[in-house]
Amino acid sequence: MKLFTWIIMGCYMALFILMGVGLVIFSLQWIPVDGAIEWLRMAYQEKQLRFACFLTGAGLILLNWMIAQLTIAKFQREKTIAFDNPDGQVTVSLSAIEDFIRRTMREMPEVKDLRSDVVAGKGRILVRARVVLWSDAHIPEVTERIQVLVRSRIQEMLSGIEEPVHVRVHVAKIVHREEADERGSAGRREEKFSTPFRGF
Amino acid sequence: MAHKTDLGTVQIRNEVIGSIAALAAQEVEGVVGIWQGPIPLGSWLGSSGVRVETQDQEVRLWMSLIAEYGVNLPQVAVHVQDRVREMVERMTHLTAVEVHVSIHHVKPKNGVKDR
Repeated sequence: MKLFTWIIMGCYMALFILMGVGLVIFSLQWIPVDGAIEWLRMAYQEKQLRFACFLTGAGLILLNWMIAQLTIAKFQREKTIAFDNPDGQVTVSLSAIEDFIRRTMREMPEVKDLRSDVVAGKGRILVRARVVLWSDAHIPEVTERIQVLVRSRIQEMLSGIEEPVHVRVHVAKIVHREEADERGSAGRREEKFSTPFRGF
Repeated sequence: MAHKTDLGTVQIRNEVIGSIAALAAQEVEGVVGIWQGPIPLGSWLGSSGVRVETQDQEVRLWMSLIAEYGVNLPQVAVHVQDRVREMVERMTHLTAVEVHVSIHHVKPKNGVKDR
């Protein structure tokens, strides 16, 4: 782990320990209430103490941001497909493949929405696709087409990585086109007839 | 990374090598950009998308990229590795021994509307 990461983790741990100790002290009534209120009043009135509070607050926001960055980056690093080239390693994030599948599905007019979860392991790539279809779609035919399209596109995109692709499709919802259109047009109508000069 | 000449020392900072690598990668067909971390404004926190390590006259690079939708990712990665190595070696006279490429996202090409 890099020094920078250690520093951030150390700060985070120190902060939580301080908060914990503070709460324990508070619950055990070790600090007199008057003293605490007096201290808070002083901090509120004195310019330098307020400035110190501002800096601490800003520092905590920044620290939280960095922790989020490190954590999300770590999760994303774990979810990758990797292969070695003579020049170095190439890794493809599984979220990139999920993005790719979502975009590919825009080519199919029968599919309203698709959310996928890609898992790589045991010598294969497993795609779990949760789809929302339009009501005029023929489900067995469309789901088969989804499987074929997703598999072929992933193989095309990752040609060079010889891992079999399994596509599991789950139809989560069927949506009526008319309902969706009506909802859309109702929204547009509301926008169209919105009262001008409101608030006067 | 520094080396001595007759007149003095020439120093090339890792950030410069990183910039060369980033620009070279973006020249490759199929690369949309450099991925700068999962959080917006990640670059403010020093996440540039390129990590550089130098030792003696050797450079090791780790690059995070956004690829174009529809391209062959392993092929693009190989082209990036070749291009980055070529440009780093040409501009710095250092040897790029390893260029690790990590593709984090796919996006349509710049200028194409992302629906």
